[in-house]
Amino acid sequence: MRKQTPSRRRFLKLGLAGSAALAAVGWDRAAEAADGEPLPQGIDLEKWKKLKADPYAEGSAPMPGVCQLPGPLAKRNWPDRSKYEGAEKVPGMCQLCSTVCGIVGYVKEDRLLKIEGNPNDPNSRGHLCARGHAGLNHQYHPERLLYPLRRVGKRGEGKWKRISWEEALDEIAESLKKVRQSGHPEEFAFHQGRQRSKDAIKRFLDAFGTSTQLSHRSLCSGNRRAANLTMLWESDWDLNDVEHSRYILNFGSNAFEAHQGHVSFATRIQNGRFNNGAKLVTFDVRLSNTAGSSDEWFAPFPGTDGAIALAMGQAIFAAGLEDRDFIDQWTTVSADELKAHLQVYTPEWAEKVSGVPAGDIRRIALEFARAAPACTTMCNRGSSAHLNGFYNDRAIQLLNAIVGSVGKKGGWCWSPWGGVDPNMKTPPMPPSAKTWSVLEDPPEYPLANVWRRMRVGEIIYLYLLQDRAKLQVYMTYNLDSPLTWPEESLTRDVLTDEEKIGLHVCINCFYNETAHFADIVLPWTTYLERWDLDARGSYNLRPYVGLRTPMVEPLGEARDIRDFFPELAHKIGGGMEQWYAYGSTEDYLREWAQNVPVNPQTGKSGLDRLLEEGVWEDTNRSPFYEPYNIAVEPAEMVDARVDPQTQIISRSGRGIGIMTPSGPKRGFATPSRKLEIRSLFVERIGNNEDCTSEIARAGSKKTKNRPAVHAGHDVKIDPMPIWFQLDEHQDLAEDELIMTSFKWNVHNHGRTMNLKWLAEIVHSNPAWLNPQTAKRLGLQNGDWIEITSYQSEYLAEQSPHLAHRGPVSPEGRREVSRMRVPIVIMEGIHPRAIAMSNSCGHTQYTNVARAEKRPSPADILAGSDPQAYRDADWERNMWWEDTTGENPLTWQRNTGRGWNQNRLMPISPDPVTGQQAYHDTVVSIARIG
Amino acid sequence: MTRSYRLLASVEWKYKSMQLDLESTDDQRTATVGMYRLLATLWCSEVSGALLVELQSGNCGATFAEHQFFAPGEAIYASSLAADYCQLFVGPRDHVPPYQSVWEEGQLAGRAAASMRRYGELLERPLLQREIEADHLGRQLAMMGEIVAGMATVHSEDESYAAYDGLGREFFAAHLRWPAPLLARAEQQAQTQFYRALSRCTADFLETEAAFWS
Ligand code: SF4
Repeated sequence: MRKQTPSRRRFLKLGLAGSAALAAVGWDRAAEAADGEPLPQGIDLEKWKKLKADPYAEGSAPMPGVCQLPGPLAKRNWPDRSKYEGAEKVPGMCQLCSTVCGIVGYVKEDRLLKIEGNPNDPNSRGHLCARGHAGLNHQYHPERLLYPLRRVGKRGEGKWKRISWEEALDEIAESLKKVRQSGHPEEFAFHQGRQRSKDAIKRFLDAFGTSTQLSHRSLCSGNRRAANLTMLWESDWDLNDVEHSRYILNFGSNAFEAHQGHVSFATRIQNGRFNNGAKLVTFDVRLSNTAGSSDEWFAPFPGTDGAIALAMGQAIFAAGLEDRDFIDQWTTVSADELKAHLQVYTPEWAEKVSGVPAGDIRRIALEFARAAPACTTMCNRGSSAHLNGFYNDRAIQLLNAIVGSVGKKGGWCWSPWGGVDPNMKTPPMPPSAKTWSVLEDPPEYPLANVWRRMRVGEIIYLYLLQDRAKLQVYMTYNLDSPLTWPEESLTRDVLTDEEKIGLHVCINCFYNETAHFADIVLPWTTYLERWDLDARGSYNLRPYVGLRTPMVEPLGEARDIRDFFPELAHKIGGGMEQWYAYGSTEDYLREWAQNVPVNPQTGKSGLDRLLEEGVWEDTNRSPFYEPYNIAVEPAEMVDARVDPQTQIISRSGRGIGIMTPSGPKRGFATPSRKLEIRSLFVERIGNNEDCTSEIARAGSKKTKNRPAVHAGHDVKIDPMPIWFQLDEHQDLAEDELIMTSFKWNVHNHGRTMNLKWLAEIVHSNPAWLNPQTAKRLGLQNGDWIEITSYQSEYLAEQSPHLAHRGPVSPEGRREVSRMRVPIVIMEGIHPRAIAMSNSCGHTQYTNVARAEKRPSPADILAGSDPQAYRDADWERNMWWEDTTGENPLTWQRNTGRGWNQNRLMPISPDPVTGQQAYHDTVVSIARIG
Repeated sequence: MTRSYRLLASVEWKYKSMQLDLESTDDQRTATVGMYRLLATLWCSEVSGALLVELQSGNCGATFAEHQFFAPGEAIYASSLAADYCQLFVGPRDHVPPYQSVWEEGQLAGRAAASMRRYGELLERPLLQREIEADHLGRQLAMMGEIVAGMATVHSEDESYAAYDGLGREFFAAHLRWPAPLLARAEQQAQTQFYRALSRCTADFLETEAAFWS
């Protein structure tokens, strides 16, 4: 029955009553302009007549709707290129992963229409991945946080009210003042997820006086970095010169889908293959897209990469293909010593532990050596995220030293410039804060912070639970810890506990699993709305600098930390404010970028040049090839001293080079001025010994001895590249497997499942099982299994402070957690491994991420007009909605939001570096039903 | 002070002294402007404590109770209304974003926002104390209120009257015919009687206005 149209008269009284009420509270006065200026008088009809030819008039639609999927009518004119006419091109930098590719935004009337790669970017060279293009979904997502929020219910209850920035900053400032007054500034912790505003964060924390800055580095790359630092000291990041290589040996890196250098690295690998005929061989327990695109793929038993690498080294020596000159001159061991060390690691031995045939190990080793020096290894989380990951990566990197490809064109390179070109100088920074917190520097992990602050993030919530620390104020930033950190339930429990975490302030673009446990949520600008100077280690092996600039005005009341930290600092006072005397953020950037030289063609320099070009690279600088062979300048040799025994050249007590038969050379920036295959430093630092003289010889200003609070926490670290296997991996029961994780090419770890273009492609993560395993356990494709995870026995012994109290399995394993998931059966996984991707399983992120479209009442479906084809994606196009409520019986393949693997993963830091061992967990599986 | 403000300022004593003549075209227009303005205010931000007191007192209280914003004599707290406003229109999750672009294009700041910015150039007025997206329903109601207020200041034979009429029809068609699904959802999801009534009232009022402007 048709509803009766209400009469207009019904509302007259209400309108008048409302007006009277508004007038009574001074609404008419409140609506006057704040500055007392008279307000414009009514509607300017003349202006309206001119504006009538408005291009956004219903129907013409030449520009907007850029996020719409092409509908049936749109297909006739799709893509509509005319919509970019007259658009301004604004440079920026992507931040949907750490590769930070240069981008160009097409902006028309403050609307971002499209994102493409910036060809000026020397690293990414104008390429973007799928995530980069989906930045539009990020920018204009209907559930973006637009206003500051204050919790009104219990923490974690999900009840909020909107507050003003003024109220929010006042409350935060009050709490932070109290932290300072308490004399424990370290009880203010800043916990970042992906961050690219290092200077702004450091400025605020140092000005405040806390060094409790927590990061996620240990989830990611701690072992690889520590292995690099052990050998090189000056860089934690090997930049494999794959574009000039003839042979690329990949241990567990998925560069074609993820990796910190993703687009820049993947395109160079392909250039190397197509231009030089380079061969790409991949060892990975799972058939990643990188493995699948390789010339050869081998699936070793999990965690045995190091064994294979050592065996390859042995095979190269056995064939006499080693580069003796390089090893003898430039490393801390002689070729003979190294050969003797490797003797036990034969390919036959490696076959036993890894399952990769000895013949293949030997063949590939010799192919690799014959391509030297234009050959390189590459590795990443696949080899690193293990409890023996530090040694895996040491062994892999050793191969480059054996064949002499270290620092060579096409070889295994690095650069000391990991970020923004050092010629860019920020406005004066405050002195570094000198506090100590067990959360930031846990004494159990000797290599975590010795060269760089790598930090052991996965222990933070556990240590809070164990009352080893407490936080008065906890500020989280672009972080999704319940999703991305191990032991989700523990993380949630601690985040809920107001005794352990006082005020929790969450800064984010979206509400997520971390924001859910906050007290105040601050709406953050997207990377398309804010300023930064940014860069990452360049594969051109020289530094550069790029600009992230607001392409459009922030939506709602979103603000960046560069914008509100100064205000907060002023509210806190006590001297903090003096570090924010630089004017506006643009002024700050202008000062920072002032050393960008003039472009003779445009006459522009500094920030103006960056605003036009987006990026600047100093092309006069040579690539960082063979830096160890650079001669020490005669001027530097004045007053220098050469140690007769070690040949180390030092000046004012600091190492500057090494005397070689061909004269004084820079050498490596290590205590021996050589590549440290044998590192006495790591052995000594593990034992809490004083390493002052080693540090001086290396000439390092950053490296520090372990602090006194580390006493009593000695860890045995082998000075040589060795390899060992975890006992628990050697006695797996029939139903036991080793869990591994991975990332898809359309997602990052915790922030992209809300982007509809990407979520449409990948939104679920059933576990991968090999057909042999499935057959053995009587499983079919689509079956549901219950996975039980166990704590590492090795870790229980090495790190008793991590002890679990869960039940013990018949095999004697200590249970951590259980989860139910469906399976897919495929050859692309080792028979003793089980794989699940991360990124999935959100519970608090947006509707898209949670795959909940929440249908409208039938008669009012938004966007149902087929003429206009209004594409309300979340209403209609989300075909992957999860309506199962986790019920295996109603689950359909390829729908849903997936599962958070971190419900299962135990906290599992490598005892040497603290890297989370995501790929070692023993699990048992059982069919449900 | 703009024309609409002047118009409304005169209402207070009229209403309080109950000297309203709802048969008079002038008072009808004033009331319609008042209705747009009231709705705009209630949509754009949470109800302040002071406004809540006014809305509940005297004749005004009776009128709002008639429209079921609250029961007579019921104790209502601005803090509960603020929480309901937040879960309905601000978020952080499962809310019903009151932006036209979201309901038509599944995104913020789409075509409707661009169009609203164009209309906004006709009248730049710091309507709101917050940064509110251009295609927020509250802004659209406020803009329509301005058009009606402008219309109220000219004679029907006047050339400007036809222009206002044209502008009103165009604006209403472009920016006030979309909210039905939002309003229905908001009514379902509201946890307070106040916001259920606001959603229902807005829907009904826009329906009557749609008839007028068609
Ligand atoms: S690799 Fe992709 S997600 Fe990462 S910065 Fe580049 S475009 Fe963005």
